[in-house]
Amino acid sequence: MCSIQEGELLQPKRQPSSSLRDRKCMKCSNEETVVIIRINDAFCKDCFLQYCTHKFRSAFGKSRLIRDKEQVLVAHSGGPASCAMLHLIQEGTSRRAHKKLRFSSVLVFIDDGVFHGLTLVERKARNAQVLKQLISSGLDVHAYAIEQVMSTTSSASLGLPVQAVSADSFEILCSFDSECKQLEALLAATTSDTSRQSLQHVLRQRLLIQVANGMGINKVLLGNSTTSLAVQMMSNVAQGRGAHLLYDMSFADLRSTSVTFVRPMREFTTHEIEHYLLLNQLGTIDVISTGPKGLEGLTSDFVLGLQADFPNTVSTIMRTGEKIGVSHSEIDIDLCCSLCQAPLDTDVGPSSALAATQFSEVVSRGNRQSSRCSSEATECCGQGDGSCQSSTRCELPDLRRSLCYGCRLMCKDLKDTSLLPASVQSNALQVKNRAEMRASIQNFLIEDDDAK
Amino acid sequence: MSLNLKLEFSGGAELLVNKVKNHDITLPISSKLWTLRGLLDWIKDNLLAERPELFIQGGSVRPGILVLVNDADWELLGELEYELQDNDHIVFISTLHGG
Repeated sequence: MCSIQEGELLQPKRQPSSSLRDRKCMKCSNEETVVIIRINDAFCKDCFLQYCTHKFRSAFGKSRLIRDKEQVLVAHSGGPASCAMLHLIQEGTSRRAHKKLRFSSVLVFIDDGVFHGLTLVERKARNAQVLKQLISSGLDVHAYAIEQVMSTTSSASLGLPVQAVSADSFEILCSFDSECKQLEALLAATTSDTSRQSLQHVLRQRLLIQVANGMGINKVLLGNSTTSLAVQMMSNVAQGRGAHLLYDMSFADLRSTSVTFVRPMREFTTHEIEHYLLLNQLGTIDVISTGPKGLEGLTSDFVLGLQADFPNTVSTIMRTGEKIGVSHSEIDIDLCCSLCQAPLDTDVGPSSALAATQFSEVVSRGNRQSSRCSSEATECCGQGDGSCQSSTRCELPDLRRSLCYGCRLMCKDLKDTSLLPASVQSNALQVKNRAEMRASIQNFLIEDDDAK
Repeated sequence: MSLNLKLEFSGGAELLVNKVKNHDITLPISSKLWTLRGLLDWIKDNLLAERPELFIQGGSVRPGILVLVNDADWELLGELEYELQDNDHIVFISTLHGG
C-alpha cells in the first residue's frame, strides 16, 4: 500500500541561485536585500532586525515565565549568541522600545580558559577583553572562573562582584590556584574527548546554578541557538541522555528545583545571529575554536552538512526534540542526578535495557565485586540523614547510583571519580544515606497513596 | 588592469589563514571573468596555510561558514556564480565554534 514516490520525499530546496538576484524584500519590497532566511525569504536590513526583535520578545511573551521587575541572570560567554542576546535585551529594555521587556538583568561571565588549555597570560587578556565589553553595557557584571566549581566553600561566598574593570578584577579570576589544579587533574582523568566535553558542559551548568543560588536569582538566560540545540540534541541522545531531552531543548529548563534556565535565543539559527551582529556592527570575542572533537564535533559536522543542502534540517531536529519527553509519572522527581541535577532516569523496571546492561556488566566482570555487607549499627547524632556515620569519601558504586544514565557513562570514562567536585561527592553521599535511612524506617512510614 | 578585493576572515576562520583577519588582494585579469568559485580556488592555492578541508569542501565553502559580499548574504548574489567587481569586500565568518 505504501506508494510514496521518490519525488514527494524531497524537501523544498533552494531555488537555483540565478533567480535570487535582484530580489526584493518580502515584507516591504525594498530593493536592498541583505540576507536570506528560512528557506528562501529575502529581507532588507530594517525588516530583518525587526524580525529578530519580534522573535526574541515573543519568546518571552508566549511563555509568561518572567514576571514584572524580576531579576534575571544573563550568562555571557563572549561568543556571538551571547553578544546578540545581550544586545537584544538592551534594546528591549531601553526607553525606545515600544513595549519594554520588564525585567532587570545581571550579567555573569564564566572564564573557562582552563577548558581550552589557555595559559595565564592568554586568559587574563581574554578576560580583560570580555569584561570591558560587558561593563560598557552598563549592567551589573559578575565574573567567575570555572575552577570555582571545585571549591568546597559555600556558594554564597564564592562571589566576586565586578562593578568596573580594574587591573585586579580579571587578575582575581586567575587566582584560584588550588582549584585550578584540581580541575586540570579532573579533565586530565577523562579518557575521551566526548566525556571531557560532556563533563565541561555539566560543570559549567553547576557553577551557574551555584552562582544564581548565591545571588538569590532563580532565572538564568542562556544563549543557545537553534543550531547549537539541534547539534546538542543529537549528540545527547547518542550519549545516553535521551531522557532529559525535554530539559535540554525547551524554552524553560526546569531540571533544577531552585534555578530555571531560559533559552530566549532558541529560535535563532547561527546564520541569523551572525547577520544580526554584522548589521548592528557588534564585535564578538572570538571563542577559541577547537575544531571538531568528540561526538559533539562529529554530530555538528553531520548536521551542518545536511543543513547546507536541506535548510530545514536544524529547525526540524529542534522541533522534534522539544516534543520528546518522558512523562513525569515515570520518573521520581524527588531524586536528582548528583551531577547534572536532572531527575534520575535509572529507576526503571527489571526488564529494561539498563538492567540488562548492568547484568551483563556484572556477569562479564566475574565475581570480583563481592556483595558488601553494611551492618554497621551505630547511633545517629540526629542530623537525620545519617551524615554522622559515614566517611566523607564516596565509594564508586554509591556515586554511580546517584547519577543519571548519561552521567554514569561519562563517569565510566573517568579514571578517578574522586577528582569530581566535593559538592558532587557530598550530594551522592547524602542521596545514599537518605536511601538507607528510608529503608531502615520503611515499616514506620505512612504511605501517602493520595498524593498521586 | 587588475581586480582589487578586500577579504576578511572572522569567527575562527582567520586561524586557517595565518591568523590574519584582513587581506587586501589583487587578482590578475585573465580572459575569463572572476567568480566567487574562482576566488575560492585562488584562496585555496594562495592563502590557506593549513588544513584546507576546514574551509573548502566539495568546491564550495564548508557548511557553517557564512559568506558576505559587500555586507549582503552571498545567497542573494548567486553564490559561487557571482562575478567579482573591483573593490568588492568579501567576508568569511565561521560559525563552527562552541558558545
